Amino acid sequence: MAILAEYHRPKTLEHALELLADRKSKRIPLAGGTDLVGALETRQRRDVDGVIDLAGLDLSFIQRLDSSLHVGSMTTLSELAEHPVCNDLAGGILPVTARFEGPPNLRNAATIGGLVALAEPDSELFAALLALNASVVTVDVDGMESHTQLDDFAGSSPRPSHGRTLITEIRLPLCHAAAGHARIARTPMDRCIVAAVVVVAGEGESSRQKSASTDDNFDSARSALCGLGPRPQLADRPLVPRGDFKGSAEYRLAMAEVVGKRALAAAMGAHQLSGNGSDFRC
Amino acid sequence: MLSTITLTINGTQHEIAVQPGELLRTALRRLRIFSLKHGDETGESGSDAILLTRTPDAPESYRLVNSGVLLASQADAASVITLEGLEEENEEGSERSRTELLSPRLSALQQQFIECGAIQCGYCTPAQLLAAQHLLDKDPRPGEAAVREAIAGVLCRCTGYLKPVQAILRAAAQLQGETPPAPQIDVRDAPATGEWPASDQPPANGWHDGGPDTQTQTRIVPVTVAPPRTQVVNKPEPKVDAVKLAKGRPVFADDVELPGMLYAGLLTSPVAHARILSIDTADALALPGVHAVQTYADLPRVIYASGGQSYPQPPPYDQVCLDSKVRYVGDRVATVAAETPELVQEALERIKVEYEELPAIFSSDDATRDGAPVIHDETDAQMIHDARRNVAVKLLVDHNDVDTALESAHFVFESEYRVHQVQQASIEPHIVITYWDEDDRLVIRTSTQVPFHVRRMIAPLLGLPVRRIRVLKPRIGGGFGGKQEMLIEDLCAHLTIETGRPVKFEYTRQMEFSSARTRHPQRLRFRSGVDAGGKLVGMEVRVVADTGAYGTHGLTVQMVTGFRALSTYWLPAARFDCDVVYTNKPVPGAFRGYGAPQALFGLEQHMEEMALAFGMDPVEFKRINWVKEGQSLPMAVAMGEGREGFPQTVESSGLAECVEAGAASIGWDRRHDPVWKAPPDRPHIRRGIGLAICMHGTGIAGLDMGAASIKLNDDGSFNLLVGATDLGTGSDTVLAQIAAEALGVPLEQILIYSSDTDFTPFDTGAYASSTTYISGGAVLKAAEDVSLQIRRHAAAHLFEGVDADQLWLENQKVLAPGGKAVSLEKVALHSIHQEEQHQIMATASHMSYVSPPPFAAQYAALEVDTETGQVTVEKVVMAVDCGIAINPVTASGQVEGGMTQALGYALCEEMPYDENGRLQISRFGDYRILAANEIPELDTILVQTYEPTGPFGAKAIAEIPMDGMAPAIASAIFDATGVRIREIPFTPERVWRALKSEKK
Repeated sequence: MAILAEYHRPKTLEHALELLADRKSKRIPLAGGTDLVGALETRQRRDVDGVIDLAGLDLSFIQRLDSSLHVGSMTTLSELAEHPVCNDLAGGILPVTARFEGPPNLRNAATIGGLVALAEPDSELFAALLALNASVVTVDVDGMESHTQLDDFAGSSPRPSHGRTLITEIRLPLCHAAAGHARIARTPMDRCIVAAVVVVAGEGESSRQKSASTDDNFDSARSALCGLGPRPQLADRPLVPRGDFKGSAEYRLAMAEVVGKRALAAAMGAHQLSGNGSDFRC
Repeated sequence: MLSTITLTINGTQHEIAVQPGELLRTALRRLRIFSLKHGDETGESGSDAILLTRTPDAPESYRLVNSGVLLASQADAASVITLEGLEEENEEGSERSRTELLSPRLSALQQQFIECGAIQCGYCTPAQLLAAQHLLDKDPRPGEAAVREAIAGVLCRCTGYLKPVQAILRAAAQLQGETPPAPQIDVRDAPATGEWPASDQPPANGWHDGGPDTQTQTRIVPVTVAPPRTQVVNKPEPKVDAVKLAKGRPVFADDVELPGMLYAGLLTSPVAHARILSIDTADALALPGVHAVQTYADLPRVIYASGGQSYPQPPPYDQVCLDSKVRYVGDRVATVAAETPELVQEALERIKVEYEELPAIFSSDDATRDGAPVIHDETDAQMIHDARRNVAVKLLVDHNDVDTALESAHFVFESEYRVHQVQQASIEPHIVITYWDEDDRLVIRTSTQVPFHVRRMIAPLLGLPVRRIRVLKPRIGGGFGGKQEMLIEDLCAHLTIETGRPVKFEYTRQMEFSSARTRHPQRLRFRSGVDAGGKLVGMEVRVVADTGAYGTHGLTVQMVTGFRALSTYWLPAARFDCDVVYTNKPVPGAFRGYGAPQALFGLEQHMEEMALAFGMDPVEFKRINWVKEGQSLPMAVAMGEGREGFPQTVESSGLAECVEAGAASIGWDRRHDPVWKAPPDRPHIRRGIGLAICMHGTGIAGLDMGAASIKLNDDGSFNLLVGATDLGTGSDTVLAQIAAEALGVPLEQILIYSSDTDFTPFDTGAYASSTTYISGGAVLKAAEDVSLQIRRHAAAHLFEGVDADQLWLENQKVLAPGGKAVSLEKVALHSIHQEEQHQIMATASHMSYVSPPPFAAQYAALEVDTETGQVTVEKVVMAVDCGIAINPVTASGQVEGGMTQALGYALCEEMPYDENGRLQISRFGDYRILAANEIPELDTILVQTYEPTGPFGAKAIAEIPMDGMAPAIASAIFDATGVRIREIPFTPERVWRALKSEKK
């Protein structure tokens, strides 16, 4: 049973950060709750006295600004997947991969901020965000806003002792791109053993494109993998697979190559088929 | 610290005091919103789904979410809709209006769920209906894919989703003003074969029948006659409990609130094998609100076996309620009863246990090795075969001299297979509520398949006589064998005895996996010989089965393994040699199929491999060897099921027709189409089709007994009381249909009730595919008795000069030759109030010395990704001979659900452990149950024969769907790739490795 002493629903970001910074109590942010509430209920997490519900912070939004898409961290996966811009972006890779995060009743509650914070090793949507060169906007207790490439974002299951910042937004460059996706799982809708997402820049675009928030370069084919290590990763990073009952490290490593190739082929195919990738210009 | 939230529930605003950690699900259930069910703690089951919005003025903003992974506080100021809110005529909250009470109204979705047979246990039905309603609100004309996606988050373990999907599509059509045609069930009668042909004559049905001995004898077998002139039997009647389930009414064990009820919890062992050196409960007991903490020191040590089976319990007797030794991670250590679930949890975490860890065994191969640790070294265990070698049970059964038969065989083949441990995983966890009634009798309200066994078995553990115990079985949210066990009732009862208070104890999903029951893993070695013509001359099956830490069903499950392995094909000589060994793992028990799926996985592959090695077509090889009508089942006599066996002869079989019908459905000829098998545009894909045949039993011969009471009411309706337990299978409906048919009334005139050990007659319970046959036999006898009493009374008082034997019951009347008729109501009123007053009623019992086998052919068509090993099943087919289907809708529902479970067994369900014996799964998701949006095409064909020993010609159907899917998939993988995989599940890596090693 969940044993909690406190529940807070602050109305301002400042108040939320104050509550988070207060070390008298072991508090962590609560987004959709689809992971945390279960973890509390099963006593998998016993290091928490209180939760700070972010639902009152107006962080549920999707806005197209200039050449990027700003997604509030409390936006649910369903809202993200159903948004017209997301349906067009890179051939709809976000809704495609969001389906594998769980069924509709979980996607209706789970948030993009929670997904980024958890960075579950088999999250295909996280891999898609990586391949799309997403960045993360956080705000710390001093009100300082930071932008970090998702690949560099050190998010992991929040701990009370870590809690001094909040994820407020995910930003995606709206690029002229096509995407491919390949996966291996025990059943068609099971969470993957290994999966890959590749995003290929569209015709007429430079192979070096700006990300939404930084001057980092966006290669013409940007590939991300999940199911290999402790969190999804870009494919050009060192692969250190971890095995479990769904698949050994050896298997996962071998399959990374297979799904990587397939996803790339699918992306190239989609790219050629559409002629110009999705209809965005950076 | 309590806070108050405002919540609009089904249009009515509520102020609710909640704890910070309270779930929305529990807060709503406190308000008697019982349609929300507890399936798990992590949201994957979806049985707690609701519609929720924070902007109720925008109806389109409602979303389906799981109330069990939302804190109640998160829903503050929100508006929620539950199934209760879809009742159109609700006037206030969840209270039902007078109109609704007098004549329940059903939405189109509810109507279609009922009409299509989409409801089995009904535990997930409210959530499915809510998800479906939400879909139709958004998309009035959804396609099948959209429907499957909409309900994908609501796991169903019973239906295989086909009928719910059909129901939703039909409801959509209905709401658009269309009139969908009646649901179709593919029912066909097997053709009559007349006299059995001599072996040298061409077969009458085109098949090459064969087999030795009895097959060559001319015999007359009554086959294939659908019951003539039935009005209720063999008709797709809606389930008798469907309305209350479709409306989400409080019918399950958890759906009651008792004043002063405490909550119970169980501390389980974190280590696989240890002695408990000490337990300190002082801190736990010191918590205000904690009323009891019990350990082995507090309870009497009474040895028992927990399997819910007939008296005397099959050995070994190797359990006590709480012990000073633990034998697996998840074993019982201590219990707590407290005022709230949170207090229970805190108390459990305060109990300090000092363990002396012992070496442990996690493999059946290691269990009997010299020097292996002894798991049951207690001195008071009884009837363990060889405790020092960890052998719980030894089975060695011979029919004739198999050694000589194999020595003289023209060709001998040997092969070995492994099957793994899986779980029943009913969506409703084990749950029990115990309390003292006003007569100081202990009432046990429990989700059980075996209420009468529970009463008998629990009495000595509690030190109470049976007469002071009453077991109530409400609706059950699925069982599949997992509730054929006295699993937690004893612990809860002990807490009620100590506290004097009602106590509720429910497993969490994690405890379901770690501390409930599972299917026995086995290693099976087959050695068979054939003559020059390919007929089997003998078969030996050696099995090593893992019964985990306790014996429970170890003997009987493995007996069924042996019987199925050595009876599906006719064998002049056979041997079953089986060691059932202890390991330090969670305990296997009864699971749908009960040893047969294990046997058939090995047997069907062995037969196929042997045929190929011998140079014969596998299907032809099976055909000439499978057991046929008129043949005896010699192993039935040799083995029984843990006790005396009885002679069995196959009186009905539609197997040949099943094979033929299934082949047509699956497209068997595609096996010879190279383009289909290796699609040129997908070079890494190979396709294949596989077949397995299956034979099961119908009850346990000479053992199972069911009884029924029928009473005539003033208005000509009947009360039917049965001890049989409907797990969601539809057995209440089927039994009521049998009574209705025999009494000449429509189904709604039969008011069935099951089961309550105080009021209903005995029944062994729901297992062994026995209910339709055994309990149905009792119902038929009781109905015939009541019919005779009605006719006698009518003849004596209401018809002049007519003998009772000349009367018959039909259309709620007693009819006489010449057209005179008297209503049953008139007979009832007359017999009760007017003349020779007496209550027309009867009780009858039924048991059988035969267990007629249902037969089936199961097919799978699939594709294998040769680069990754991923297997994707495209279509599965089951053509099954269950005799006459008393209710074709419920029968086909059993097949669809069973096939889906069997797919999980073959493909994705497993219980992996780490090196310390700790389960690596604790939730749905990791333990993958197939969801609605990933099910292959399912086709069910009921091939009817007439079983002369069954009520209206019926045989069993509930378990056989589990039996053949894994070998059919193995066969299809072989057909696709040429690679034989002798171990399940067929996970991507296992298949990939097999393909890799074949390349080498």
